[in-house]
Amino acid sequence: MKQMSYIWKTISIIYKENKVHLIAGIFLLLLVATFPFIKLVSINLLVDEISKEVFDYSKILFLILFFCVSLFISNSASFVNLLGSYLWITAEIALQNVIIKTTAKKSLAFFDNAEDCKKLDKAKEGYGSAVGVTMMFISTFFISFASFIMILSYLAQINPKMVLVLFIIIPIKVVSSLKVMKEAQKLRDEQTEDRMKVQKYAGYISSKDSKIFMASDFFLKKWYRIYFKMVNKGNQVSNKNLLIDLFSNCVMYFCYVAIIYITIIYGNNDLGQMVVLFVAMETIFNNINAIVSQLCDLMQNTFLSNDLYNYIEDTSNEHIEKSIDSEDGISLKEVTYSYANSSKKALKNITLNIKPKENIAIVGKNGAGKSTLIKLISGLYQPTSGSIKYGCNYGFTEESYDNISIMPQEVVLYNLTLGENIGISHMEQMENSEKIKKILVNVFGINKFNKFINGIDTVIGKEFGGIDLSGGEKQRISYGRTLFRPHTMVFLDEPTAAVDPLTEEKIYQEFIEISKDKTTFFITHRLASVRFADRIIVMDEGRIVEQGTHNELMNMNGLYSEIYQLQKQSF
Amino acid sequence: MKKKSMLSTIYKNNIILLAIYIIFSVLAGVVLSVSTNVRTEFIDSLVNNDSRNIPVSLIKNVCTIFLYSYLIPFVLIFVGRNIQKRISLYVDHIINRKKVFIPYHYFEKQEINDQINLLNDASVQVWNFIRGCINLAGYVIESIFMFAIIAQLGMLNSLIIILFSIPVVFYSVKSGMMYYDTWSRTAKLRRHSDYIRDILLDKTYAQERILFHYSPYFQKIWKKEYSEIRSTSIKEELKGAKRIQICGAVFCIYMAILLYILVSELKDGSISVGFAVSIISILPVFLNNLMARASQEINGIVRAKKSISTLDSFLKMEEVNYDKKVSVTDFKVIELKHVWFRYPNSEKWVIKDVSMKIEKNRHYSIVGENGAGKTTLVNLLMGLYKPEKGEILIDGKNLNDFSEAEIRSIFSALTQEPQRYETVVAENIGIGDIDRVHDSHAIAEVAKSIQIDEFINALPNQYDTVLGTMFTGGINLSGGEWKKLSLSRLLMSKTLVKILDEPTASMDPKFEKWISEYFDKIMKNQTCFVVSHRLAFSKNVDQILVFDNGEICEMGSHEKLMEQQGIYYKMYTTQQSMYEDDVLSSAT
Repeated sequence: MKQMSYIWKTISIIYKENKVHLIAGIFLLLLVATFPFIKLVSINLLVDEISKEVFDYSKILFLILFFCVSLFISNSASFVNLLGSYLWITAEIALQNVIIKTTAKKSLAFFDNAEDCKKLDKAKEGYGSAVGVTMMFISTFFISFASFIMILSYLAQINPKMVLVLFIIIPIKVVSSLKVMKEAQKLRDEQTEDRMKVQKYAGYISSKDSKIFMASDFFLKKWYRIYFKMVNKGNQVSNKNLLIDLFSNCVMYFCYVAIIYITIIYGNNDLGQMVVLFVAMETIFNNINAIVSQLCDLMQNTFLSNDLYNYIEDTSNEHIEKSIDSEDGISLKEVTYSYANSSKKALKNITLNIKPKENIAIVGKNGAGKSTLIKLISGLYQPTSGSIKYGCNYGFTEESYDNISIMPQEVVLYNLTLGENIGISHMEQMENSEKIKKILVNVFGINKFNKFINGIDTVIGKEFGGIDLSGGEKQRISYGRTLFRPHTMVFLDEPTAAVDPLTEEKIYQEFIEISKDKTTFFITHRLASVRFADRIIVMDEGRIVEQGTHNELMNMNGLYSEIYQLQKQSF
Repeated sequence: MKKKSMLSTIYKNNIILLAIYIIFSVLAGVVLSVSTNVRTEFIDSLVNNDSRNIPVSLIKNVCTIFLYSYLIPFVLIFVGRNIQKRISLYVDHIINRKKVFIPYHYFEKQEINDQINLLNDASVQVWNFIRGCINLAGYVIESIFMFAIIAQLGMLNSLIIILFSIPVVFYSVKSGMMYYDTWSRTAKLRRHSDYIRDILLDKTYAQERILFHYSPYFQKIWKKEYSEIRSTSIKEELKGAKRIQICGAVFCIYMAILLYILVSELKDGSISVGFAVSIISILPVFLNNLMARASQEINGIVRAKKSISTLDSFLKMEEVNYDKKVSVTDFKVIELKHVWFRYPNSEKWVIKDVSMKIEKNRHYSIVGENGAGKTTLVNLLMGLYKPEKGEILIDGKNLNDFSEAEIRSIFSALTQEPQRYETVVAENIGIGDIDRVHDSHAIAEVAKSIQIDEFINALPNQYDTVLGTMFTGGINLSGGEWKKLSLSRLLMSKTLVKILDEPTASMDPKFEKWISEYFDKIMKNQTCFVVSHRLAFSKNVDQILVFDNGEICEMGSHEKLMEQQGIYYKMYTTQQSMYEDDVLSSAT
């Protein structure tokens, strides 16, 4: 069964993380599982003894002690489990680590796809159940099996007909639990999107824009509509499931009662045995109910492990490491690209040859495909059709992104220290505070940098008690991060969108210097800055419509010349 | 809303269900003691071979066991879940509703966001509290009945049992409180470790994660923090559990003595076998109630109570008045007089002695270096922050004296990083004037006015297209497209003053040019305030304010400032020179 293989896989993942913890944890679980058993045995022995006509005092004393000790032990179950939970932290970490490793391998296109993102979310929720299921399985499997056999033989001793009862009771319980499980799973799947919506809308209530436009109440109502629906549906399903459970319990109980009635009224047992039977029967029945319930719970929860393993074992959409050696240039042939959900082509039949160490500027309207082109050339996306060649090989080797640096259009800021925000682009040099400081002084200027009270240890972002930065400051950090990373090829996507003119000029001046012996690409709306480029590519609606040097393009009197005149006129 | 009235509203709204829950909880205790008696009766009739009574008492036993083990728990869980549902709908609603009325600046504070996170399970805690109290009462009743039975072995014995309960209750209460305190203390660390996990898993960081291969580095950090958080909480629980274990052990010794007495009395014939068996059967239940269920219940009640008091203090926070019936329909001049501002818990002044006037129907622009405080100034102007010194006056009346709704009718803004609402296009625009959010005609008009109607109509569901990659069929827009949408949001609004914070960042030149023209045409009879780096804008405004280091250092029209040859002059000529033809021709 697939579920069994998941349990085995979970165990092996935990084993790799920490053998000792796993074994000790299993041991504790098995130990605790024996407790109810010990309790049952001690009660039976004691009751049996005191029902006898003749008392054996010393034996009774011993049994009393045994009884008290076993009661104490069985009530220590939760304490022992707490001790054990220390060990199971390892399991939680191990499984989350696997999710993290799997995610690290995914391609950029994976995150553009809503369906795929949902799978990741489900896996994040599912890992806890995987651990729980494994623990449950371990504690119930051996003990359930052993106690089940013991109960069977005990019952057979008293009256073989009793065994038949089990064969009626158990299937009823199993069928009803399967039904309950199906309902719960269906509900969960249906509500995945609603759960995300509820969280998002609750967040919108307090956002700055909502406050400015008095839209908080609007989102409150939106939130409530979905929340109301979600909670009510969940409750409906829960009610239904409880009724199914009650019904199956009634049927099972009826069978149990019938058998007891027949046995005690019409059976020929001696007094002691009958008393024991009566007292034990109830406990045995509860034990069976508990075992079957546990196994069914197990089944109910494995579908949550499904989510975890569906994600971990899915090797689709992993990014391909390319050998980005631009020594011999890059050539794109008839490259087309469409985003995940879209039939619209973001790039159409791009053919482009890039010489080594060429500096290229890409301009065009919003949505023309500029950022998409960069992501394809840098290897973050794979073309939907067409090919990209680097030097003379297609390059699917291990050598990866070590020589590339990209400054994204949307600045990514980490709520960590200033130094970490820079060093993150080149992990090996994360500890090199001299070099990091140098970059920071470079992008901020010495005066501005000195205003950061804690220097490179200044925490960024109010999340963790740090400082807030303006849009331009954030962009400068992003730029610094790009510079920090050693590269032979660099991509800047609108590097100065948020900075003031003086900084902008400085950045471009510097950039000319750095790009002298590198292959560079930059996207910009500020046409004044393209004068630094060897070649300017003009894009419109996914195609390259013009290319050349500034003067060549101006002479063409086309799109470029039109836009350039527009911008210049403003001055 | 005080805690008392929240809880009493809940009681009032759920009185029937609560009554059923209470009745059945009490019933459980009653049935337990009845079942003890009935069991005694049955066993005695077995012993005495009272063949008439055996079937009858057997049936009685069967019924009581069925009630206690199946029917009553079913009713309790069934009713309990329905009550929980109703409480969740109520409590989560008042929490989110409160968020509507809390002034914006609180949400920039870390403590408030921590508080809101702690309140995520507030609705569950409220029911835990109520249910816990009822259950505890139920156990007490059960225990009273059991005392009564055990008392047949002697009053003294029963009293000793009561004495055992005291330390158990005490330790349970203490450990419940400690647990909650630890939970709040580790809130910050939990947020941090969740954040690190986000860096490793979230799509926002995907591109850099792939490029920089930093997953192993953060994985180590996350693992360390996660282990610390989990083991701290388990350690806390263990502390309390250890003490209860000790109580339980002592109780077991006492129980052994009790049983010895029991057996002697049995031998003497002063009690029956049935009674002895019954006592032996209920002792485990009693012990379990004491060591496990009652102590857990108390633990849970204490934690829940703490959570409720967090909720209480959250609900007591100051609110703003959104009564829309009052709004400001006109003004002549807005004045800032010697305004000083700094962030809470900060020594550094971000806005220093700023004084300026904004006159109706004039256009203003603010320029300056990054981090100079321009956005902060805008936030102050809009009433999102309050100045520490100085005042902001609207026709002589202090901004603080206006209601929130009035202030919102005066100002609206296109923020620097506008919120991208992952809902339909129409709503993203319509929110600008919330009263007209469903007015599709008005929305289309606005879109047309800035020429984005074409691209919207090209989307799969036009104005009803859902945006954002979170949801199935959602469309993601480019940075510029989102910005244009947000701009149209501003245009929907009918406020008296419109503020734009870096409107042309990430916009293409054609649009940039267009918007400078638009600015003059459609903002012709409006009061406008622009923060921008693009000095091309500032040529056409009535007054430019040059901001540096929290202060206004230059003020005037474009011509005047150019004459002054100060900071503005320098910035302008730098931008301009980037287009100079002669520089270009020398480069080629």
